Amino acid sequence: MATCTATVPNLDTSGDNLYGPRICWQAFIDWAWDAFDFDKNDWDQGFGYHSVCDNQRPLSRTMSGVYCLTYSSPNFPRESYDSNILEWGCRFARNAIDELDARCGSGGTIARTQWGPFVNDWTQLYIPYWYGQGVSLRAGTLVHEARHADGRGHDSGNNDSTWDYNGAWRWQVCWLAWFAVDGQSTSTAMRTQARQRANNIINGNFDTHPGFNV
Amino acid sequence: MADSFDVVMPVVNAERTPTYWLISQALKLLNADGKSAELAYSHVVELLKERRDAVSGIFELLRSAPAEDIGRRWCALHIAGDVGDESAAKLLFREVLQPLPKRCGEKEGCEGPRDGELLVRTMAVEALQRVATHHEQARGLVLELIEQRPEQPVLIEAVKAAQALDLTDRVREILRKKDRWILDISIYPVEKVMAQSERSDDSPLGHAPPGTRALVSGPIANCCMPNKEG
Repeated sequence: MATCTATVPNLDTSGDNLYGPRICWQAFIDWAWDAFDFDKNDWDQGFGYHSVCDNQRPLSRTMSGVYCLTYSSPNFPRESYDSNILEWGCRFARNAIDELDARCGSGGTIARTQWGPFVNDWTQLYIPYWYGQGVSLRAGTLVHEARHADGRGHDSGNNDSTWDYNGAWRWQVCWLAWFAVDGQSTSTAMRTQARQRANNIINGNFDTHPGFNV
Repeated sequence: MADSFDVVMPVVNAERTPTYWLISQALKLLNADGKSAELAYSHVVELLKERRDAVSGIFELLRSAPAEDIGRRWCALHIAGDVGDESAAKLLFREVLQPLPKRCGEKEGCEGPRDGELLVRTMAVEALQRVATHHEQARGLVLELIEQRPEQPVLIEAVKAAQALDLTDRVREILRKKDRWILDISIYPVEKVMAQSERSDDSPLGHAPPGTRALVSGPIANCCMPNKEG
């Protein structure tokens, strides 16, 4: 067991003052807790189980990412796989992620997912997930990890070889790109960061550059 | 066994001057939702353009932010670009060329500290481009960025910025032969950016989320009893 602390960054610029009040809604918390299989033992000890509306704590900041993933499509409550990933991203993520856990982490890593036969499947979130990323990027990371939880790893180190590989980087890019254009009830900063992060991934995380930006 | 955690609250700088107060308002409005916030942000930026100490105040905000506070640093650069004063150009140029952390190793997860820093560099490039829209000297700095050949994701942003400034011919002269493919990168409309879900709608819906509060048509039962003072 590790013990850790984090300095809380500005709550406006992280988006937690925008999304924090939205997640403080019992019907949503009950749903998200069950849909993403949070467990009390993974989220108490200061991570926020006893203060879910405290937007300085990891649980609230995770819930904000889940909220952004869930409600940003203009077509909500439709979640059809025939549409774009902004519409079905939450549906996919909640069905693919086996359990969502809070850990201290090390080395600046944001999140990890373990999956496969004969292992316990989990997705762990670490301190930089909550305190180094704004809310829209947290939602994008959930999409990325969900693709791993579905059994699709990277095929070239931490990169995907190509866009056609249809891996976690492509999915993250697509969700961020659609959020930047079509995301509902959000700020200029959240949209612009989403677009820029999508381009950073396109320009750095494919062995063969896809040939476009968004 | 799970880990344990606690938060540390940072020391908040007081809004010491009218300029600093305006900058803090810009920062809040940039992170607010809605058309009225966008309009108010543009008004605050116009007021900042009239203040001689705006750029120094914005870069004081940037320098005083802890390194881990990516959001505050990013917003400071965004505001600097919108204010568009020529005196910001050299500072933005230096910000772009700060070295990036190394990429995560394969066992260290997919995203890490480099990604936040890359976002900050990207914002610095876009801010420099906005300044360069109105100031010739800043256009030269965009070209100089390309000459310095930063790491690929930053180089691509710099090339895009130069192209947006109609400097494509100059960029072609500057770019190394092996980097000229960057000039052919297209900007796709989002409709062309699709993930293949490999699922049909016959797949499980799972536990469907509750409707948003906006979709709830009746009064909210557990909300907001007024206190005696009203």
